[in-house]
Amino acid sequence: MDLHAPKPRGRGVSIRDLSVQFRTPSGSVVHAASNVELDVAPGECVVVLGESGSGKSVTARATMGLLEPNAHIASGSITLDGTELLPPGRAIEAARGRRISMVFQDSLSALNPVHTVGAQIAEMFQVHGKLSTRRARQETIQLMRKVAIPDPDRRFRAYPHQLSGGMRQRIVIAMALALHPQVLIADEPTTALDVTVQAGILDLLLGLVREEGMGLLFITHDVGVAAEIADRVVVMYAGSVVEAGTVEQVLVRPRHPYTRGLLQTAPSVSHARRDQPIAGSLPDPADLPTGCAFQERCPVAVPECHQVRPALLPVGGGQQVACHVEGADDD
Amino acid sequence: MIQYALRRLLQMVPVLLGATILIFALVFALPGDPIQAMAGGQRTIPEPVAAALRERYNLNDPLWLQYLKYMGGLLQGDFGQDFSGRAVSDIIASSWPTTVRLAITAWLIEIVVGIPLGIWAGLRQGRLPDALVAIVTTLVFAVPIFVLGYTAQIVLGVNLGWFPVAGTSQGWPTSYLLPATILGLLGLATTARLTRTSLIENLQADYVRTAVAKGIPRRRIIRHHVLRNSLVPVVTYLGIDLGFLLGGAVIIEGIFNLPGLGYEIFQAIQQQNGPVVVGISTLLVAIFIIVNLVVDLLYGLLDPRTRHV
Repeated sequence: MDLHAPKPRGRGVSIRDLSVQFRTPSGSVVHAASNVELDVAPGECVVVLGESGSGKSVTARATMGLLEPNAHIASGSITLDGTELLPPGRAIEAARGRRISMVFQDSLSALNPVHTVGAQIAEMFQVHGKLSTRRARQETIQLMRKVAIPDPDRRFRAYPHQLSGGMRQRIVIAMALALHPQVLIADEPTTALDVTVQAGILDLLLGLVREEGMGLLFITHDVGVAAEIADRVVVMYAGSVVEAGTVEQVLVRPRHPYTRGLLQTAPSVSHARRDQPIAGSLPDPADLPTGCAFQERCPVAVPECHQVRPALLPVGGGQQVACHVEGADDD
Repeated sequence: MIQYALRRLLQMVPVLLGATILIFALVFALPGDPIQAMAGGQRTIPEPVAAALRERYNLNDPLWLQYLKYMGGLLQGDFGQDFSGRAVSDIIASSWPTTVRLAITAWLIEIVVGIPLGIWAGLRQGRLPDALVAIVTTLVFAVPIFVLGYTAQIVLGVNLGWFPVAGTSQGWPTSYLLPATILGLLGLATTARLTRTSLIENLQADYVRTAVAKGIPRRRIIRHHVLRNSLVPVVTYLGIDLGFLLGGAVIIEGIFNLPGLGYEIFQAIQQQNGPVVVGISTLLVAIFIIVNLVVDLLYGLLDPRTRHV
């Protein structure tokens, strides 16, 4: 297992018509994800953009087979390199850590507090690669060097609480990368970090995409981060994909009223501080309205929006929008 | 680490001082005349003899002076003598091994049975094994220890003859198994419940989700990641419990007629034998503190976040 392994191949991840529901103790059904469509090709960075509660993390966890016991996958298909991963079972178990990996937001709680960070990375080589302790250690130190952890020999013996947040997140990334997965899912990996540290982590991830052909599914609520790293952007709202396209299409020429509202709240894209939060709040996912989920906050809603849920339809150039108003006038 | 241990040992001084003052005051504030109590209820000791004895045991001094004289002796390793002239250190030396054997046996039973029971229940949360452990441990908590003790003695000792009924004539472990099991039951139930709760809590931790995402097999996740984290609170409890167990078990030693510290202290209280009560109590306080210190130091081995560098 050397660091110059052949570029990850494969066909990436394809999510089709994924719907995930949660049953609450009170008996109501929460629609956490509805008919989600998402593709991550090798060598591509796809950013899923949305507020908390938009269904972006649920989609990621469903892909990894990490949904909570009270979650129910109502429909859909998730394939990794052509292999169906649903319903969660053998297929995803065999792929986890090897062909698809995940990085979480809180690196402190994501690491086991009682083992050294080195041992936690080396575990990948020992369990999956069947390497000896000594060989696994060598591989780990090489890997730590690759994710730009200074003084890896010393850091190998450090415990998670002894490292900074940025350093810990690099450890978590190293763990996820150990076996050269085809696809890496990163769920808000930089949200807890300060800006300069965040930039370093983004560079690292982007380098892996560009140089090794890894597919990256990056989840964030931060439009600035999306603008910085995305090849394609998928915008989610209340469990549904409302808009998808290249980073230029979605962030420069957004079609969906929600995306436009989102961009206006983001100073780094508009280059001017215009804090205009979208009026209203997310609908209750246990009680979604008939029709479009965004209807109550939408400045351009028409009567149809209250009756029919808009489908995600192409509007030219590969851009897709789920909107009765903005999706209609094709250019 | 050494600095930390030394600091903790220094902290023992005020604790021991406070404990001895309290015990001393309580014992000597007891109503009645300890000298007359020696003779039993019927006869009385002639006044000249009693006066001589009072003089010898400093009983005419004010309480604070008695205390100072006692502590002076204690600092020189002298636990004093009881009212019948036996050295308290001899009493401790002869009863201590019995208590240690009983305590260690009970403690081992708690660990060897309690932890696996807790793991068994915790991994099957909400299913039959979990319910069984919940019911059995609740029973143990609910039934007083002397009921359990006498019942076990009559059924398992007298009727079935599986265990010696009482005494230490058959040595360790035979004579100790039954009393140690009864003594350890409460701690066993607590250990099992603590292990179960801690395990369930840890199974939901983020680092377990990470391990799953890493593709680590479930067996290894539990053995390698979850168990060690889960045992941190259990070890703390077991350490404190060992301190308690080494303090002697008045009821169990009484039921099974084991001449340990608990038995001695019980008799000493009945006979108003102050020097014995104070001596043994002081020793127990010291043991309790030292055991806790050792546990705190061992704790760092399990959880690096609490290591004292």
